[in-house]
Parts: sequence; structure tokens; C-alpha cells
Amino acid sequence: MDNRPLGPIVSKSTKGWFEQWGVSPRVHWPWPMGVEMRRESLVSDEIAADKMVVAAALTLLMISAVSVIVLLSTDEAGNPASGDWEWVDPITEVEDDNHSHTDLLAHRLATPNMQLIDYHNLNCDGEMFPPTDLDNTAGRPCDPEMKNMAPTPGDNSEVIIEGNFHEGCVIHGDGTGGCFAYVAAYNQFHILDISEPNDIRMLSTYYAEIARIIDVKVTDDNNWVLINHELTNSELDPIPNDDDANSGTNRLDVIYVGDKTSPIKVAEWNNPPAGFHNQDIHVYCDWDGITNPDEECSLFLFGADPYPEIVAGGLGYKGTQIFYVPLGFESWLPTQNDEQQNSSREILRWGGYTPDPDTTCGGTVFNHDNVISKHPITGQVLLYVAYWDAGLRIVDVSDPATIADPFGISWPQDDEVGRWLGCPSADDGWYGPDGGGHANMTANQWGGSSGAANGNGWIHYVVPYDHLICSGIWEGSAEPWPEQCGTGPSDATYGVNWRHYTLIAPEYGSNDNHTGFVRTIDTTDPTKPFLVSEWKLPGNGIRANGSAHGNHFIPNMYIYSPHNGDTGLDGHVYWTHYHGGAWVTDHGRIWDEIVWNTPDGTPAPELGWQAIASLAETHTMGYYLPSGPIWMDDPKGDLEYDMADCWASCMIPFNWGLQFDPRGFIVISEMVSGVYVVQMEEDYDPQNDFPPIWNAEAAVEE
Amino acid sequence: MASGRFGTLLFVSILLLSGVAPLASAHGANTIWIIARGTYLQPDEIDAIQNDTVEVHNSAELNRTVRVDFDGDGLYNGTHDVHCNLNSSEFCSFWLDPANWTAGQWEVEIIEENGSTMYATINIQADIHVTGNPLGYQFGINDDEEIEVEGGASSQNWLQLVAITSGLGGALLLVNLMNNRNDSLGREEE
Repeated sequence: MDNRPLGPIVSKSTKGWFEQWGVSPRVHWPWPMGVEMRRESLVSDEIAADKMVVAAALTLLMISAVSVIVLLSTDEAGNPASGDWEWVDPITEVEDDNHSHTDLLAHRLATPNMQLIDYHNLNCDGEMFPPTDLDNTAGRPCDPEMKNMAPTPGDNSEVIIEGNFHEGCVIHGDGTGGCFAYVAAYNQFHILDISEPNDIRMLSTYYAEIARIIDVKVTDDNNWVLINHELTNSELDPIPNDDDANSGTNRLDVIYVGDKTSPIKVAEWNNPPAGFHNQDIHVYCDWDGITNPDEECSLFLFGADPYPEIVAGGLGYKGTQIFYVPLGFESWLPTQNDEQQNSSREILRWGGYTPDPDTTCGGTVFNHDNVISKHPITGQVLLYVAYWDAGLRIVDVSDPATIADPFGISWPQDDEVGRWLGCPSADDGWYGPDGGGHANMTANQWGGSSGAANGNGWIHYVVPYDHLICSGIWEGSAEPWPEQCGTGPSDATYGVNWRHYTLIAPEYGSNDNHTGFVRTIDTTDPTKPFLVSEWKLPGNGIRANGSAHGNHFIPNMYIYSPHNGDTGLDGHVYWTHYHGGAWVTDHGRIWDEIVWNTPDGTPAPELGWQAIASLAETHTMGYYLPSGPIWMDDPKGDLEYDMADCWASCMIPFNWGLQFDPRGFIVISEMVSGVYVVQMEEDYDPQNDFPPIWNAEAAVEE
Repeated sequence: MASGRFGTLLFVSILLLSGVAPLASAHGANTIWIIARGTYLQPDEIDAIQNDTVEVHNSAELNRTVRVDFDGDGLYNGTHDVHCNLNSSEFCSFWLDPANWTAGQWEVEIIEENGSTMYATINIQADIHVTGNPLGYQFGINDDEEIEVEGGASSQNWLQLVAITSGLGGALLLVNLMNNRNDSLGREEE
């Protein structure tokens, strides 16, 4: 036996283990010889026992860890939205034995992460028409018992939602609050209470004998609705079958909707200078140009003129026309009689804008849709305008001129702050050939029929984000945030990673090569927009002879063209594609996934397109094809869907537009069957838990 | 003190690790479609969960028979076998009653009048549900319709039990070891 004094005794097997936790094992120092042997024996036994205990503990911990891993993996495997589901391409170009565009049930297609929350066929009270005394002047209240119980009026188009979603849609004591959807429907518009997305209720219907109510907008306070009566059947914006005798008129109406069950028309403007297809509305407060000292806030309208042929004011401009309404809403009191209204209503053309012809690459200049939004960085009130081959136009309308400029000589004609086209639209600078504000296309690659064949040009709809995005979050996202997002947009190091995007997309009546790109334009600096990503309907098209084509395409009747879209919270974007349904894409990580050609790969937004080696991918998240209430065996028959007038290209479904409810729901307007509330799993917010109740109700009925 | 902190750290870590695992998952009734087109099925494989309903829609201009040999006896007359005849534009649906349809893979035959057959695969997963799921809502749930399926849940519950008890056991052993060493040292120092 080695009688050398014992040194510190430390189990090798435990030393390292203890050290990794920063804990020093106790040491044992020698005792006198007689005791030493006994103690050595005891200590040796103790060490052996410790080893066994440690080994047992480690074994148990290992078993626990493995069990947890197995549990997690089995849980993921049980989730149908985990990405392992079979992809089904819902796009079929050619009708044959496999596909009929009018077979509703054959379009019950959706990705597994989509769920129908509720549906309304938009019949108000069982009747298809109002009593004659209400026609053109007032709406009628709805009977909640008639939800999905009577024939479907159809002919739906734009949907807009408004409300205090962040407050849970509570209605306050003073009557403010609540969340509502407004749906334009050719001869009608409908108001729905969407406070509970799984139990939407139709409140009223407004009917007008004069048609083409296509667009609907509402003020932030949910009190005033602006509708158009569009008179147009232009080459660029035709009624699909051109067989509708009631093609509308040239008029704008204001409807007071303070009482959502009794909308009432309070003003109409006959023959405004254009037959608007689309318009937006904005209220300015503290504007210096007020014409009456009693006017606290001033109302402006931003109309899109669908007739490119119109040469207004003799100055040759066409497109965006802006109107000021003196005394605004104060002049539209529902208590006024017709005579008083006639004397009070007034609309003044206050400004105009059209792209400089030298900046359009020579293509068609056609203002289709206008969206006003406050830029989250600059604070400017910006008008984002879809201008067909003249692309995206961003016009600063923060401060309306104090003197009317009816021909748009300077306001806001001189206030274009940015634009984006695929082609260089200037000789130098940001839009010049060496600049970052284009995609280096030729004029032919970008615009006209040749551009359309590439999925380019023909910009029909634009929509900016309301906020900034960083790595799949926005400023309202719960913390902790990804490291690269720092403390937010003002972070000295990471602020650059918070980006503002604007989405643009074309519309084609037919296109035998493409359905069109939905493009993401970085508008963080609205004076230097640049392309960062593009997306098209995924998959291959199939020709009539059965051969595959690299893109889906549009044989006719707008069938799979992009139409109207909306932005979400975490970088999600929602877009209707007529017969192709509603699609959701993820743009949240675009900034992370751009490949820059700078020496060290660092982002160079100041160089835009010129610094990008590879655009980021826009990720497809899912789709949903509205196809009637899925709890009905034959909704087309039971709810009498009207396919006869072919306002929806004689197809079903045919989706006009949608809105994203920030509580995590998509409100879709399908042109024949009605309104659908759909939720994508990735948008689910536990704070806004509205699971579908229709399936429970259906089970009870059975 | 150090060993106490260590023990506490370890104990909490194990508890947290165990807590990561869901105590249960849950699922509400969904309807999943198989569209039988002229020459193909869309989709031809679906992932379903017990309590879902499968709807087979015949969109072609011909008559078809849809059947599932539930009990695998080669006949189609069993209580839970599926057998329906469809004219054009008709559909039939069958509920994946958790009492009968267990987790597994099933084959749906769509047979035309001329005898040609197309096949769709249904992958059924167990519907696992414990009321009051501490993780809250899962997509597709209708709490009113949730059904407990003991068989499906049992394996997961067993795993959870193993994870928690083994984790706690390991942690307790280590804590105990540290305490013993502290006591031992204390006696020696006395």
C-alpha cells in the first residue's frame, strides 16, 4: 500500500462534470496512518458510491431528455401544417373532363393551415330587393335569422374593414367602437358586424337602382361611407362579358352609417370629372386652407380615373384627381332634406397628378387604384398609386395646397417622391441606368403586351405595409425579438434591418405566358424605392394539348390574374387571384435573404438594385378557395348562387378582394357567393381566440 | 451554497425541460376533401386526424363507386366499411369516428364503371386531447367537439410520465449527493 500522504482526492469522473457547472468538489486531506487506512477504505467506498449515484442520475437525466425529444417530435409530426402535407396545385387553366370552372364543389381546395371560420351569403332579410320607397335613398336592417337561409344576391366586389380591433372591438358608451366590414355589390353595399369573426352578422343592406357600386371606402370613425357608381366599360377595364345593360353612371355617393342598421344617403355628386373605378378618402385636420372657420377637419377624395382617354382641363393630364369637400362631413347631415343637401354639397377639384411622360418608358398610363398611407418613418401622408405601365408612383399629399390647383399644375404634380418601374425611367440618378430604382429591363421587357408576357407592367394594385418589418416581426410583436432587430427601428446598429415594403401587382384579362408577378418594393426610403423580391403563382401551367408550361397563365376572362391584396402583421401578405382563390405569402425575412454583391455581403440599400446579386424569395404560405359553406351539401343550389350574369366571368369562385383583420383573420369577398372569414394557422393569436362554431352548429342540426 | 444553487438550477432546468413537452394536444373536426377528377385525384394522399370527416367529390361526368375496406376482409359489407355510389357531381363523406378509426394508413378506392380504379391514401393520426390543455388553443379545435381517445393519448402520457419522473429522479439524486458531501465535509471540519 502506498503510505504516502494522500493528496487531495478528487474523482476524475466527477471533477470535470462539477467544473463545468462552476462548482468545486470538496477535497479530503490526510489523517494519521492508523485512521488513514480505514478512512481510505471508507473514502474509496464513498467515491464508488458517488460514482454510482452520479451515473444513475445522469442516466435518468438522459432518459428524461430523450423522452422530451420524442414527445416534441411526435407532436410536430401530428401537426398537419408542419409542412409535410402534399402540395396540391389549385390552378387549372383548361377546362376538360378533369376540371370545370363552374363546379363549385370541385374547388374545395385549401392548404391544411387554412380554416373557414365563418361565411355569410349576404342576403339581408330574405328579400332580394328593398321596398321601393327605400330604393336609392336608404338601406334596410337585416334579420339575423336569415343568415345563409335565403337566395344569394351576389355580384360582390371590394371589401373594406374598419374598427377598434386593438380594443377587442368593444363598443363604448358613446357609441364609438366596434368592428365592421363593408362590401360593395354592384347595386348594393352591405354592412356586417365582424366583432366576432366566428359569428359575423349582417346589419344592413343599401340598394341603389343605379349600378356599378364597385368600390367602397369608410372613414376611420365608421360613420361615413363613400361609394362610386362607375360608368365605364373601357378597353382596359371592361365588364367581362360586356353584356350588362346596367353599366352604371358617373356618380359618387356619401352614405351616413352612424346607425349601422339604417344607412342613409346624404349626398351625391353627379358627373364628377371622371367615372371613378376606385377612390380613397382622407381627412386632414389643422389644414390651413379651410374655407370655413367652423371646419375642424377637411375632407379630401383621391379618385382614380379609369379613362386614359380623358384630357382634363385642356392640359393633357389624366389619372389621379383630387377633390376637396368644403365643410366636409359637416355639410352632410342626415337631417337635411334634399333641397338643403343640394345646396350644401359641393366638390371642388383641388389638384391632380399624372406621371411625367418622360418617366413612363412609353407604356400605357392608366391610374387604377389609389391607397393613402402614412409612412412609418418619414411621417408623410403618401398616395401610393398603381399606374399600369407607369408602375408604382408615390406622391406626397401631406400638405394640400391652400389654393385650388384644379389642373394639377403643381399640387401634387410636383410632389412625386418616388416611383418604381422595371425599366430605367430617367437618364441618370436613382432611376437612371446605373441607379438602383429599376430592374434593368428594357421598355419592351417591362411594358405593353411584350412586358405582360413576362409578367411585368400593367400595375393594377399597390398596397404599402402600415408598419416596418424585421425578420418576421413588427414593432407590436412580443419580445424577445431576434438579435438582428436590436431594440427597434431606432437602434443605432440594427435599425437598418427594419424595412418598409410596398406590394405591387398587375392585372391581365388574358396572358398566355404568365399570371403576373406580385413584387415587393423596398420603400423604407420612399425617395429611393427598389425591388427586393417577386413572386408568382407556384407551379406549372398545362396547355390544352396537355403539355406543361413554365408558368401558370390566363387563357381568358382574368381567370388567374392577381387582383386586390392587403398586408398583415409579421410580413404576411394576402392577395386574391380571381378564380385562383386567396393566397398568403411571407415577406417577413426578405431583408435577411437578399444576397448582396457588396464585397463583404453587407446590405447596401443606398445602391438598391445595383447591389443585389440575388433577390430574396417570397415564401408561399397557403391558399384558400372559397367554395360555399362547407357544411352544406349543395350550397350552389340551396343558396341559389347566380351564375347567369357572368359579372364574375361565369366562374365560381371568383375572388375580388380581401382584408386582413389584425386579430388574425382574412375577410374575403367572393363575387358570386358572399363573404368568407378564414384563418391561417400562422396568424392565430391566442388573445383573439375565435374558433369556428359552424361545425358545432351543423352537428346539432344533424 | 454552491451545491444548493447547483441543485436548484438543475431542478428548475429539468422542470422547464419537461414543461416544454405539451401535456396534450387537441384537435377539432375538420373536413378534408378528395376531389375525384376525370383522370386523377386531388389530392391522392391526405393527412387526417381522428374525428375529421373525409369527403370524396366526384367531379367527372361518369358514375363511380367509393369504398374503403375498413376491416380488411376483402369484402365491403362491414359495419365500418365505406361503400357509396356516386353520380356525376355527387359526393359522399365518412366520419373518422375515433371509436373505430385508429391511427394508421387506409386506402380509398374510387372505381369507375369500366372497372378502372384510382387509389387515395388517408394517413390517420390519433386525436389526442386532455380537456383544459395548458398550452391553450390549437388550430382547428372546437372545444365542444373534442373527444378523448385513450389509446392515442396513452403513449404520449406514458412518455411524459417517464420524462418527468426520470428528470426529477436524476435531479434529486444529484441534489442528494451534494447535500451528503456537504454534511460529510461539515463533520470532518468539526
